[in-house]
Amino acid sequence: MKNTKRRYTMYPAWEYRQEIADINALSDAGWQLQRGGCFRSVFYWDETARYRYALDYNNHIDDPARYRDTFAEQGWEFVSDTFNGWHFFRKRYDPSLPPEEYEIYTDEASVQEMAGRWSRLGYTLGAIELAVTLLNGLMALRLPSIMGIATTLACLLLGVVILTGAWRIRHPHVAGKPRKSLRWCFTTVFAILALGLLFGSLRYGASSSSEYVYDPSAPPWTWEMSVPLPDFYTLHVQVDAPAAVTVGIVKEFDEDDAAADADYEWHAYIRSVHGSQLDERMTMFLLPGRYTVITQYDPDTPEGTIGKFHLEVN
Amino acid sequence: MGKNAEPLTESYFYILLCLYDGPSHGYGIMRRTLALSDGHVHIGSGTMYGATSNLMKKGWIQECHTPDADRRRLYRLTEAGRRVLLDEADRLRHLAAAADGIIGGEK
Repeated sequence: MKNTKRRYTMYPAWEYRQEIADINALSDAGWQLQRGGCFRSVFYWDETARYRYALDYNNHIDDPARYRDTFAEQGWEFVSDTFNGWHFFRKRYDPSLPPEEYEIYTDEASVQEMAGRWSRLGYTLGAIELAVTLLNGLMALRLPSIMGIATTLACLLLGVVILTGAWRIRHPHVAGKPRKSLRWCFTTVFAILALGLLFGSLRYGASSSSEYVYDPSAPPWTWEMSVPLPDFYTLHVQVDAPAAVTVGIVKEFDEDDAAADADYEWHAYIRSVHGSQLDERMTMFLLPGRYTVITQYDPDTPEGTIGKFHLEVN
Repeated sequence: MGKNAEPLTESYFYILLCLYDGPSHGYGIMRRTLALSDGHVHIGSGTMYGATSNLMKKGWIQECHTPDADRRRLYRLTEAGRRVLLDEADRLRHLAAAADGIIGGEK
């Protein structure tokens, strides 16, 4: 039998009591905490000992020596701490002693003070998360994409969960049945982000600039694009031409039918008026397939007309 | 109540009370509090550290050390802390007297 084991699990801050209960149960079973962590804990095997553990959150200890002395005076042995201010202590379990002997916070005011320290952090993190959600949301509105929508939803969910947790830690009497909901939340967030990343990594994106001289006998300026997964795409068109121009997307483009004056079946298009400049974005939802971006002068454009074009698809 | 605008918590009150007749260390305060309160008030380590930190910030107690080689950490009451303790005791006496005047010894 191995003498140590690692346990990979994550407890949200507002469920620190559940974490202690689980560590105590492991101690009763012979596994003693050697190092506690936010994501990974290490236990060693010693069936001869039984401990009761305590977890304190204090990220601004003004006098670390006095802090540990205060715990040692009452028989608490320091176990380990985490990078973000959680401190694990333990004390030999004596069933004849009252439960208060194994509590480190013994009045409501100090429980609230400890909870308040994390709560303030939680509210700050939650607010930052919601601000990121807002920024992501605005970007997703401007340039819609599955990735943008996924990130926005994931940030929103995380923000709401953190804010709820910041409230729950101050109201422990209502913080029941929590771990499943948190696991559900993180699973959902990671699923959303993974989906978003998949879609994001496979997205088509390209840009091109050119001067296009109108020749009625030549085919129009075309640009092939391949869409592997359904997503929102934005076509950004910048045109400086002395003639009316249509820029659009055609699905299942047939090169044999390509002609400067052909009448295409546009999937989506932008049209400039005669002799004007154009700077427009068009967002569309594209299913997987091959598409062609076509830039086409109006048929009545004088031959030799020169226009400057800059196209972006992303 | 002087500078202490709010009533003291039980833990704060007992810590000040335990230091009234001389310095003591955290464990001593905890044991004496337990005895004074007939076992009702237990000051855990987290509560003790937070309370002593706050009381020092308020200037009501100070840290000192035993003169021996061990130099154990002690706390002692300051004059401001003594004033707060006396004011609080006075307030509690008034409350108890008012309660006695109405409900007497009924439990």
